[in-house]
Amino acid sequence: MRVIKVLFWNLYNKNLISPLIDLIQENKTDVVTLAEATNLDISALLNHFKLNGEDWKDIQFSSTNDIRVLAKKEVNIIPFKEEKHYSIYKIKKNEYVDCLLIVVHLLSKMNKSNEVQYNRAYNIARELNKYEQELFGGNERRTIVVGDFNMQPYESGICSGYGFNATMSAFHASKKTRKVNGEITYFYYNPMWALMGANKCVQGSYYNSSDKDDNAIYWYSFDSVLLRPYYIEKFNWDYFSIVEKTERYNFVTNTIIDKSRYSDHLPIKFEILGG
Amino acid sequence: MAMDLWGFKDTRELEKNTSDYPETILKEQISALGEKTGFVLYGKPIYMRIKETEVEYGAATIFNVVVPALDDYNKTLLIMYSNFEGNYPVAISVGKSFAEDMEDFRPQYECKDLDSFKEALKKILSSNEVMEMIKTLYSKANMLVS
Repeated sequence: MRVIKVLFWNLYNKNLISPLIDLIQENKTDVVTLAEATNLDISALLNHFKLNGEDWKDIQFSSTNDIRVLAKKEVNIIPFKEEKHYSIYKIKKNEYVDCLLIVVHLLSKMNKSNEVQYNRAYNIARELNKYEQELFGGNERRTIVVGDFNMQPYESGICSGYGFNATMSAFHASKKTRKVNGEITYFYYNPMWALMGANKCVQGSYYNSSDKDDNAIYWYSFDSVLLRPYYIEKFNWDYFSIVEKTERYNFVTNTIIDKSRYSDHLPIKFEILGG
Repeated sequence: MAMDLWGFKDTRELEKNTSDYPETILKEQISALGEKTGFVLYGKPIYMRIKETEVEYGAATIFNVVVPALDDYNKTLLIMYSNFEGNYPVAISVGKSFAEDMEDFRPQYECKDLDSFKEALKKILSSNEVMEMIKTLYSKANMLVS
C-alpha cells in the first residue's frame, strides 16, 4: 500500500459538504470514511472535485447503513461487506488484498445500556475476525478499523479480549496475539490513547458536559482508529490528530464542539506510510 | 485386522443417512445458487459459535451470497441457528446480522421438524426481499462479466 491519508467524520446526519471539502483538501486526504452520512450530497461533492481536476469515487454497492466511503480514483478500494453497523473494504495492490479497511458506527449509549453496547461490540468483533481469517488465512492480518465506536478506549467493548482486544501498549500489541480463556485472540493497537488527556482544549472527538453517571470526563474519544500490529511502525504520528478546524471553519467554539453549525463529533485523521 | 465397531461403513453411507438434516438441506441450497446462476453468484457458509447463554441455540450458520465479479463481495442472506446435540428445532433469521440477533434474538422462523424447515426455507428463498437481493447482485455482476 502506498502512503495513504484517511479521514473519518461522523456527520451528525447533516450535509456538511463545504467543511468536508476543506478538510479533504487541506489534509490531502486520500480516503474519506463517514458515519451518519445519509444526508450528504455525495454527487455534489464528487462533481466539485471533478471540476477541480480530481477524480473521486463513491465506494458502495448496496449499503444498508449510514456509512459512506469516498476515495481518490487511484486508490484501489472496493467494498467487501456492508452490514448495519460496519462496512468492510479491501484496499488492493496488484490484485491481492493489501489492507482491510473496516468502518464502524456502533451502538449509541443514548439508546442502549453499556452492557448491550459491549455485547454487540463483542459479536461484531467476532464476525470481523471471521472475515479476516477468510481473507488473510495464516498470513499476518493487515486490518485497520476506524469509526465511531461510541465507546471510550478503556471500555470493555474496545479493550476486552472478548471485544476488539485493542490496547494502548504498542509493546504488547506487537506480540500480535494473547490467550483469553484459552483462545488465541488477536491484538489491535489503539493510538487514540495518546490523544486523550493531552494538555490542550480538545481532548477527544465528542463533548458532553452531562455525563449520565456524573463522571467529570467532558471529552470522549468515541471515534477511534484501531490498527493490527503490522501497521504500528507504519503509523505517522506527526499527521495523526483530532481535527478542530479548517481555514474557513472552526468546529470548536467557546471550548466546546459547535454542533449547532457542524457535527457533534470532530473529525479524526491518520496516515499509514507505505509498506 | 483392526476391529471396526462403528455403525456406518463410510462417508457415502453417512451422507445418505443425513440427507434430511437441516445442515445438508441448507448446504444443497447454497450449492444450488452457484449452479443456477452459472456461478455469477454463489453461496458460502460461515460458522459462528454462540456464547450467549440466553440464546437457546449453540451454533449459527451464516449463509452469505458471494459475487466473484465484484471481488467476492459478500451479502448475508439468512442465518440458521441450531444445536450440536440434535437436528431440530432450528431457527432462521432474515435481514439481521449475527450481532443483532445475539442482542435481541427473535428469529422469524422456528422449525420443529423437517417439513416446517423446508417450508420456511422455501418461503425465504422465494420471498420478494431475497429475490430483489439476488437480482440486484446478479445484475451488478453481470454488467461486469458480459
